[in-house]
Amino acid sequence: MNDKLNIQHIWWRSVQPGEFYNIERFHRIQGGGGALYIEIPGSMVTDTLGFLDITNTDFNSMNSVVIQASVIGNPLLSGPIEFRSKAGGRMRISNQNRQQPHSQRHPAWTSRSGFPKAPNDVANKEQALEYFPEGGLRIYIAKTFDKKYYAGFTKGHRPSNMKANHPMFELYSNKVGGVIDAKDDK
Amino acid sequence: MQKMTNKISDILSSWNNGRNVLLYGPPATGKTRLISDLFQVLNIPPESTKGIILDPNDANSPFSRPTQDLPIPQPVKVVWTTFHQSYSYEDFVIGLRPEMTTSETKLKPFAGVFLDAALELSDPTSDYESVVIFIDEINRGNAARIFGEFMTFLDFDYRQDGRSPLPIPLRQLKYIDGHSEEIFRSGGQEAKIPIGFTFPKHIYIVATMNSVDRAAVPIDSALARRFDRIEMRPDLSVLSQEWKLNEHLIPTPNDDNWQNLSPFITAYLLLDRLNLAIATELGPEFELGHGLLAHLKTGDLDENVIWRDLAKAWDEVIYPQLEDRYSGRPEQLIELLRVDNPPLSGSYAWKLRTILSSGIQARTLAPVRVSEHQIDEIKRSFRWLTR
Repeated sequence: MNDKLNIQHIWWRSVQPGEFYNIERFHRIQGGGGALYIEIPGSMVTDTLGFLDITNTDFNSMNSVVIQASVIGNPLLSGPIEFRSKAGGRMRISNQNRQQPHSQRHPAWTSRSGFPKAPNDVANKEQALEYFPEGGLRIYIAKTFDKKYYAGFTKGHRPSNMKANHPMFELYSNKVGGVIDAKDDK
Repeated sequence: MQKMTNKISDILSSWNNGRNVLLYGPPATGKTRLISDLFQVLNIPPESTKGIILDPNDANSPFSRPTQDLPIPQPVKVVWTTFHQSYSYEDFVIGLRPEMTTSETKLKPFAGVFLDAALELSDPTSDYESVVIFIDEINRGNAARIFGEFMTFLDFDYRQDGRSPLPIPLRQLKYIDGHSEEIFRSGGQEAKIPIGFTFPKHIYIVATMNSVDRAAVPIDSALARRFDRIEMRPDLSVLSQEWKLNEHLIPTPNDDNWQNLSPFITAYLLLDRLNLAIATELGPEFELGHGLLAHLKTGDLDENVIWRDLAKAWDEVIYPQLEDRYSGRPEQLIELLRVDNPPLSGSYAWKLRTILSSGIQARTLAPVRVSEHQIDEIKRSFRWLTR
């Protein structure tokens, strides 16, 4: 796995503090279960389906799309990432709460890989905020030209010496998320 | 710097089309700097502006840009040489040097820079796939004599894989059994060449030529047509970038604003005015390069320090160049420095020379070191000169 790989697209999503709380907390809380997933807003759905090489029509006829992604930094380790549709024209990455039964938190997005972690008994978003990195948290999935997937994350502020042409520049932005096309000239 | 990058692209494009490159222009227009940048590019190809490479083992910085493809095969051996009046065919193509042993003294052939490049690429043990030869000051030597019959091989058509490859004509060598005698090379190796040896394709030349220097000879036309020419002109935008000036906001100096011009705007306008006059009176090839002012730095908080630096640059670099260009044209230089039309009030740096015994003024400039004058006079004089 020493060879470098040519990337076609990078899908990324900014994780909000509320989402971070939802995927870190105990899965059953008073007043209901709540969201145990990472949401993909309607504005990103078309690009996300394009990234997954699926048409909108095909996706509507499927329950979900599951990709197998290797961990960047430990590529021998891999795990599934399940994309499901959601009401209101949105999508979600399912089962990302790390304490829920049958959790499918991707190994690239666990504390073993350096992903931020809140205590198991974190009680609310404000408490979770203490463990949320200042400068933000984003997850990303890179796809090679032969359709292999690699997952990772960025946290904190963009390094001050990072040039605008650097392919990771966008992965430190404060936007909602998006898909980076490697063909785009910067 | 974008403009520099474009020039490098032009050079690479010429090489890709099988053409060598000649950079020409006045001094201080960035010729040597461009070659230095090209040297860097050949050693470490720059990152592309698109494409993404993933190192799946690197969790901290997994993505990077691929390096740009260079049109010449790599790795590249880079050789630098400077032509001068004593530079000869023996230095560039092949020469004979004495080799003394206990029993005899023999003349042995030594490869010059150009032939050595050909032998390098013909050596099956070589690490290199192409050779780039930088020739600085190509018009300071007698290029036709230096290249000799090898001028033919500047043309890629007559090399290996060209349209009409020709064998190299080295009649000064002795051939035995289809191979030449040993030729000594610069790195201590020895090589033989077979009869019918053709010049390798991947040897590229980039040469520089000062278009102003009167000591240099005009370049031979047979040589000139074997090069793509890239003109290096004075470029005010290099200074505006360096000094963080918005070129669109630089004012036209007039009665109302000339006394308030900043040192950098003054220097920018001054070079522009001088070059317009020089281009009109002497020709554009005699303009002053922007590099003459490039050492003025924006880091100085005290504006007076910048004015003094400008005066120093004037005394030590710019005025000597003007004197050289206007040699034999004192009236034009007097007019350029507005000696007959100084500011209405306040002292002015440039004056006519006065005969001390009679007080009569001669039509020649009084010697002056502007940097030794009062700061107000320095400011007034350079600002006035922008108009």
